[in-house]
Amino acid sequence: MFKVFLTEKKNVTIFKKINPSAFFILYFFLSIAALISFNALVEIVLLAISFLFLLLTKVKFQYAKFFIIIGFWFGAFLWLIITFTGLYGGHTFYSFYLFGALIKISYGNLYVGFDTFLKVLSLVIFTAVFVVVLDPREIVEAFSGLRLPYNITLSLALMFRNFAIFANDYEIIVQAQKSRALDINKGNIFQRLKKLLGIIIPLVYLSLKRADDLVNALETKNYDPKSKRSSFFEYKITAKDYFIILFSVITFVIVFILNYYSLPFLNFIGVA
Amino acid sequence: MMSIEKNKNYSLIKNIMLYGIIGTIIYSKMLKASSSPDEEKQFTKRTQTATAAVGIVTFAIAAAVTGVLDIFGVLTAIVPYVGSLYPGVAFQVIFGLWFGIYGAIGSYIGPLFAGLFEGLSFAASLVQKFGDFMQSLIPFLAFRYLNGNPALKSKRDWLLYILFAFLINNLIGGLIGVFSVWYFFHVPARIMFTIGYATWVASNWIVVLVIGIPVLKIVTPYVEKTRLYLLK
Repeated sequence: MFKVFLTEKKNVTIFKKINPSAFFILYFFLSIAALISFNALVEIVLLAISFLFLLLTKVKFQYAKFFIIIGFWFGAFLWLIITFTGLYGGHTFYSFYLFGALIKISYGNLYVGFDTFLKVLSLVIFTAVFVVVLDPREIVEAFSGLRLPYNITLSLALMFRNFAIFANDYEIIVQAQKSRALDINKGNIFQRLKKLLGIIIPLVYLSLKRADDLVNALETKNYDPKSKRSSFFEYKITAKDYFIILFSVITFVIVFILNYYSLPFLNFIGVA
Repeated sequence: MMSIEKNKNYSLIKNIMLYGIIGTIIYSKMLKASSSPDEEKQFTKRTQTATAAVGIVTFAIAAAVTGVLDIFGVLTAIVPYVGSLYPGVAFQVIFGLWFGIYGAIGSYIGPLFAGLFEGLSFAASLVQKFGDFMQSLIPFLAFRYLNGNPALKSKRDWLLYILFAFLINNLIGGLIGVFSVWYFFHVPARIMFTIGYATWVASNWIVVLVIGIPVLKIVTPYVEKTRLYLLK
């Protein structure tokens, strides 16, 4: 999964014209807005925006489906748990005993469960958009545009690079062990973990060796954390980037205000 | 007669000590004078380069490994965002013990970004993965300041491992992780702080025992020989 999203050639879309830092701010504020909102209508609007963004990225469905499945899975899971075990108020329209415990299904439980489902789904889709649009270099550029020290941005760049390398190594070692008849899906939890050691120990050795080589390479090139750097790729902030930042902040503020005005309705159905 | 001899001995010792100190100071000054300021600068720069490079690389490796394993862990969740089999926790402990603070920070930042893939927003991920950070930081601090050996050679090392890398860190980390899911996603507390917490802690305990101990025992002697070993 990491390999696909971090090394896949990115499509040329309208998002490519946005400065990575501005795009990160857009993602940050929209995801925070989706997280703090407890108005289902607002969540539906944010979900619609997230899907619209996903369509605009022109990503192939085979890549986007992973995120959509995760969002549905966790969202539905949370919805189910909140519906059956939540203690929110409102009219109880069904109740029953399960293992001696009284389970009440109220409007409050249903509402909060549905709201959480929408929330998780929109958060996952926003993340999908963020990951699909920006490649690792641009993600690092986004952080350095936010005036993070070079040490930190270089560390992040290496981290993203190693995500893909590590995932690749993991796949290779799993295949190698499978060809030696190691099946990690059989047995109880202890047996599975013991089998996993056959994959993990070579993986650790490989990672350490790679780390040692990387340190040598940095030292050979006389890496100096304090020196000033120039970049081959330069991203300038233009008027439309400021507009994007403004849009993100305004959306966040609107969601915050709508939350306040939703309180009487939430009181009415027994959530607040 | 005896007292005169004693006094003579004292004065002899005094003189030796005095000349020794003066000699050492002069010798060190001479040494300093013989090495040019440029050489000193270069030496300092080389040391800084080495330290910064090792720090950055160990951070990146820790972040990548724990980040990828975080995704695999969450896919096995019984309670949302609480993996029932989370191999990443063993590496959080291991990297904390090998790479020191860089490993601990890497064990925070890697899962933080992995959290975005799982549908946690940046804010929720920041809070939840702080639990992962504690799971790495507590064993590191314990082994660093109580002089433990990650190769688990003595009884004292085992005691430190059981107390700080198995019990306390997972109890604290689990509490933070479960709290974040309860707080941000409104999952009922009676589910999160009972089944959720128990799943988190129990699965972590199993992983730390079954994966953590063999990896530490087998790989630590190799890591100690490299420059990547930053615990001391």
